[in-house]
Amino acid sequence: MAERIGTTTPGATVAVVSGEEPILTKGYGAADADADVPVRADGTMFRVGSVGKLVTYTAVMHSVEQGVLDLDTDVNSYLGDSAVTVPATYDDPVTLRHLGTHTAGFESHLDPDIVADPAALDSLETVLLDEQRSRIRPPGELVGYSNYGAGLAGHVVAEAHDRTFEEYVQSEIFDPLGMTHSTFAQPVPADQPGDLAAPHIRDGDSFLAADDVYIDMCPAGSLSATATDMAAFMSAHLGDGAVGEMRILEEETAKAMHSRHHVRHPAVTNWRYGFHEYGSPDANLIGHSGATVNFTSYLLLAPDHSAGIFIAFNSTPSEGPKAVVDEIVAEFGLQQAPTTPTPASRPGGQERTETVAGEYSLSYLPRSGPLQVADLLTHLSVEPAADSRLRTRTLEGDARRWVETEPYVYEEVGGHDVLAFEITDGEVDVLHMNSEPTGAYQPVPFHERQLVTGGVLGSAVSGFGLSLAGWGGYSAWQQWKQHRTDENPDTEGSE
Amino acid sequence: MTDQHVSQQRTEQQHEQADRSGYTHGVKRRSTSLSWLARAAGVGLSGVSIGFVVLFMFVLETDGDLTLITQPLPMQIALALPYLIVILTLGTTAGSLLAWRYRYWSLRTRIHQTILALLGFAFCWQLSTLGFLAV
Repeated sequence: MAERIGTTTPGATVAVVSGEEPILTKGYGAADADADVPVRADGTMFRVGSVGKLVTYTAVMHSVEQGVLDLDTDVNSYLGDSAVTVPATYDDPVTLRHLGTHTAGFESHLDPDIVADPAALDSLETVLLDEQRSRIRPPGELVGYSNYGAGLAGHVVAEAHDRTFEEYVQSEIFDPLGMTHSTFAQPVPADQPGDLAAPHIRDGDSFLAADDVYIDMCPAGSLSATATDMAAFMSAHLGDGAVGEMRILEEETAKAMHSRHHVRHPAVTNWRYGFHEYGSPDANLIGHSGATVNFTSYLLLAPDHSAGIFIAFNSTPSEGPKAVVDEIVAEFGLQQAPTTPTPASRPGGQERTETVAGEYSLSYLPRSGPLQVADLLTHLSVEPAADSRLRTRTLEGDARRWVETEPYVYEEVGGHDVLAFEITDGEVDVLHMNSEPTGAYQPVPFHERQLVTGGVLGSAVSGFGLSLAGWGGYSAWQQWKQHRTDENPDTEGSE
Repeated sequence: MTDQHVSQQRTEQQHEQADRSGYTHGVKRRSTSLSWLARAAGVGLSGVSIGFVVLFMFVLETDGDLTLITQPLPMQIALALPYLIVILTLGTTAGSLLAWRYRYWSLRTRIHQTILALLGFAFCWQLSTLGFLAV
């Protein structure tokens, strides 16, 4: 970790726990590079982004345990006193189980309503009303990561207890666990213990402190916390709801939260409640990533090893905290090293590669608005290769090879990743990637493929450019000719 | 063809000849010339389209993908340009139709104007596909 300070990120905070015992809680580098303030694991709060959703869903389970909420009841039944409501687009209602597994089927906008000015922050109810999402899929069908869904879950908790979400989490989770340096409030109140790390942007070889931003859908990502506090939170989950004498969930509730609530495909990572599986689907590793504009974080639990890892950066490098988590997982053998996949012996492998070849886009990316560009740029191309193998590539240069181990299931050569295709009537319905638990890949229509879009846009821009160049050249030639005429009127007149 | 259209056509031809001769004209006189407006729409379509691509890519490269969410002023300006491109495409198309109907300019120029209109439609189609044009 220390090697990354100053090169990958200006500062980081780390917590590694074994059951109730923190093995390592340590701050690295600068909390504020401009002011040269060091990171303290027990005093410097980091914006943990979507890792905070784990607190939100813990609050949901706490309310389920109290009998106030039920995972399979229409969330609208808890919103009688609220102006927020989920439209009845489909016969099946949206439930808290859908919200905790991101299978409600809301259209994604990616944006949890980020604002630069704290004065622009609204109440959770107002935000959910203003940012109402359409339902584009029946609930329970596909995973499509949704900040709106997490915000709605937090609002349901607040409505069910007739308190604000922040008040409920404070009294039912933070206070019992002694998480005195944690808050969902924005901006962080002046009397809040601890200091908030500054976000940073890269400036050549160094980093500059930047202005912070605020997450209006607070249950989806406004948590600020120290590594020491996140260690207590991890220990509570590893201890089936309790740390020492302090209990936030009954053992049965904690076990229920850590069990599978949505199975995408047996061969890939699936969803526990609020947590997604990490790495090999058989490793029983669960976690969640998080990010704001200039912070990144990752939390991982290994219940079988009673181990927890939390890492946060006050920057957003391309190689984020997950890379550090990956190294720790490998170093401590929390999952088996990747093996060479054994090819399937069933006939028809080459035909199956032809069936699955195509271009795919992720379900959690927006289907409207300019953020659709992000969708276009992240399309996954699947191509057949020799010996019933597949090649995949993205525009970012992620090229990988895959071996079929079961019909329509392909394992990565030299990695843990898995592709699992669902086929209906001989065509791909959906593609699940093990390392993308937050969404499913769906086939892209021909007219939305990168080649078509790039070709049309490229042709149009080239045509416009050539026209401008032609006009410019013609105008310059005309002016030059006029200039010559003005200079040599006799010559011009004799022609 | 009506007398009015013949008169308009003569005026357009005179304007084109005048433009080619390098004579300057007042903005008011030019702005009432349909052929001048048609060509201006084509030039504007080309310039604004390239300007949109350059500005959008520049903001993304300098300030990152999250500018699509935070939308600083340069990104807001970039995201407003697609609507202007639609208007200019319609203007260029109307100009092309008038040019063929009333024989503005040379054949080569009319073909060029028509190609610009078609490129404009193709560009707008992809802008819509990519979500830059909210309906």
